[in-house]
Amino acid sequence: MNQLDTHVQRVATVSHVAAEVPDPELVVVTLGDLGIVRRTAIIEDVPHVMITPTYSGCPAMAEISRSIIDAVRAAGLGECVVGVELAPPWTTDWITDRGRQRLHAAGIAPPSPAGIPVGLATPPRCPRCGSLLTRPTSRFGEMGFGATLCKANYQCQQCHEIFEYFKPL
Amino acid sequence: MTSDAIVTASSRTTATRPFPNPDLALARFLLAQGDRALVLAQRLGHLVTRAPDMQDDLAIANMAIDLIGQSTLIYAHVGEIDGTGRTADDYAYWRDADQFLNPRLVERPDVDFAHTIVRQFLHDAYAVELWSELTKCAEPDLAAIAQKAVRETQYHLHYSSNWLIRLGAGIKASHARTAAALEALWPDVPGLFSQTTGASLPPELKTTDVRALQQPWAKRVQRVFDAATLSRPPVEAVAQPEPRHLDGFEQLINELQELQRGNPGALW
Repeated sequence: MNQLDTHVQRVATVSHVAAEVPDPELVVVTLGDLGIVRRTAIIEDVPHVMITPTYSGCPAMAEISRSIIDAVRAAGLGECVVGVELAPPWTTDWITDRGRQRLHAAGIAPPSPAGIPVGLATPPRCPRCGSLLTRPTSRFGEMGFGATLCKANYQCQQCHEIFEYFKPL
Repeated sequence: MTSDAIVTASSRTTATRPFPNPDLALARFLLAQGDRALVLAQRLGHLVTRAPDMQDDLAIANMAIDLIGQSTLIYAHVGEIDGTGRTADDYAYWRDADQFLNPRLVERPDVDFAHTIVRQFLHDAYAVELWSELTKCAEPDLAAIAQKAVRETQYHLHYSSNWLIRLGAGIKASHARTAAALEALWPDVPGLFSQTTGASLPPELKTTDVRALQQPWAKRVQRVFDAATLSRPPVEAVAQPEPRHLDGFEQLINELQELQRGNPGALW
């Protein structure tokens, strides 16, 4: 294997390791599933991982950086530098199909496509029974909020399951 | 303890660094935007565990965190463009109350829930217009901050509009309180658009003067007023009178800064 191949392979390994780090608040999905890891590089032998924030106020960003640094170190790839990239801004449309399947399997309804005006989007499918007859748990039925910035509380009118919906952003 | 005393007490810290006002018009404008978001978040924070019910508690806490996030990103950006390299924490914790450039509306106290909702609604309608305009700006980071913020703020506006309609078109008592809150806060509307702090937006935008946002804002709020059976207060709102900050603002900022100034550089 020549030097370039080795370099490319190392970058790919760093990418893979960073992408497989579980999200600290939503441990059923990885950072790769969420589309948070934007680019990786090895510059002067130091691995660099560029990530992008989800919600502006997401309190997990520091934890995410630490987890990446730990994971890259544990994989024997050395001390990495984690940088933040704001543009282009993250959207829930970047969540991968695998990420959506994993959310669904964990009882969290994956987001519908972003950009539909709040209140006009079709309600999420109940992750338990598949019904589309779901509504926010807020008293007056408006699109609610939830236990983290990225989720809203919903209830299925068919099977009465209360579940979380990953809000489109 | 006054904030001055706190600064003096923490010797050998960032507090002793001089903070000249950023002289770039855009930096100053954005600083006012960061202050707007942070001060409103601080006000909303007071309601956590005290909102009318659990869902509203969640909503208010969520909006406050979004606003803190937006102010953090904006402050960090200001530190880059005003050439000082200051961090978001420098701006949030190490300026005194009289250096804050926020519009007065967001300082208004939570007299009752109607005041909270009217304040939020007038603000959110403004913030959606402002962020939408900034999404078109040529500076990629600023445009990205705005694109994220506008989507978050749409959720806030949806929430505050719904509540405004419910209160306004609800029962006699809720209508009366909402109308009273609207009348009380209306004089602060011009402050959103003048900001006495320099109203320049990035020159490449179609709208380089924040005052131009008032017309689309007025249209937007009128539609919700109609649904809420509320009328625009008869008083013609005039330019923001002095003083720029309300009584009690210094206390609000002291509370925000107390921990950091008592323990400079403290991290979670």
